[in-house]
Amino acid sequence: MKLKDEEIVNLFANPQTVEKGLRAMMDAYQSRLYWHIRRLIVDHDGAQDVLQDTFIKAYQNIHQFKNDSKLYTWLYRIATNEALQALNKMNRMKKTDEDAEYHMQNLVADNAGQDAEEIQVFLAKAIQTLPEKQKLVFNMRYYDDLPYEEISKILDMSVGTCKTNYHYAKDKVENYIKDNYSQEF
Amino acid sequence: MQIDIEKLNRKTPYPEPSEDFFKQMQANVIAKTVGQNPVIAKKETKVFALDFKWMAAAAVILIGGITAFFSLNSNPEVSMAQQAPIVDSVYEIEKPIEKPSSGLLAENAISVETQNEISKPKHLKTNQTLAVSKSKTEVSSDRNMTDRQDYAAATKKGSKMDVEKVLAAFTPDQLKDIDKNSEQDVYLDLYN
Repeated sequence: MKLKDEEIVNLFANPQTVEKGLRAMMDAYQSRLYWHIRRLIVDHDGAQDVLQDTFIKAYQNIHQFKNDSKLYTWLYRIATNEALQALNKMNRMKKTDEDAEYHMQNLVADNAGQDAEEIQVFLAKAIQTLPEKQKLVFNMRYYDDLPYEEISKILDMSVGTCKTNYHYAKDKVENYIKDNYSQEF
Repeated sequence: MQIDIEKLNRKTPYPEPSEDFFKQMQANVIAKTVGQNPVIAKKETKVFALDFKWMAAAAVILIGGITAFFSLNSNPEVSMAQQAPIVDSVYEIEKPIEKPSSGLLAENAISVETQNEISKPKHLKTNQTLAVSKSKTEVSSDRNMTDRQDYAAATKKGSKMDVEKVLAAFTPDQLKDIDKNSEQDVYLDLYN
């Protein structure tokens, strides 16, 4: 039985039930957060590390969580920050002169499942060409189907900006697929 | 070729993680968070709500206790000196002797002698009261002395003088009576 956000947060208030609360929080949101991180990091092991760090950060800062926002919005925010930090770290550590965008596209191809549709792989590659903010808005809107209001809270930007970013991103992705997909087939 | 991504199946091309993945991840998170800080059952301490009445009562008791403590701990030598001298009280009890009439003087020649003897202490009394008041002033002046040893010696002297004066106030017969009535203190002798 899944607990409500309020019940999970209340479990953290009592030292005896902290572990139960942490487990309940992970059970409720681990899958959604994993896929959110995975789309940004692409690599499975990297996503695992970021997911762990996200829950550790959430545990350490649960006292800062205010009940006026939803728990998953707060967790998405932490996960997004952790993922962006990890990406920046990866780019800094990369010793080759290879373009970051190109590197990420190769990573998508390497990590794609055998049963994955080609168009889905192209879509994932196209997303890697987007600027950071557009990438985040597009992923959350397109894959997670989050409302613009929630995206605006997670990314700390206005709803209008989120909508604009999404439409720009959608156009770019569609153009990328149109250009590259038709070339290969 | 026109592509509308809204019509596509919104699926990520990456394979699903293994079944154990989330279990392992949870175990790692627990080990790094709750596992490092095991929950120790704390004993619940009783909390007493402090009412204003209780606080006021406690304050009164505390003030009373402090004043009692300081009054009991005051210097015994000074308090002794502040007491009314015993000599005064002894002589206050004595009734004044009536002067005999001139006609009875010859008959009561012996009694005059005894009267003189008794009246002697009366003269003494005035001297003694003077002496006591003197000793009082001595004591009060001694209070201001900084040297404790000098102060102790002075009080000892004063008390000795008082005893001598009291003894002088008694007639030999009275002293004999007192001596008969008193038992000898064995332990006091041991230390003498």
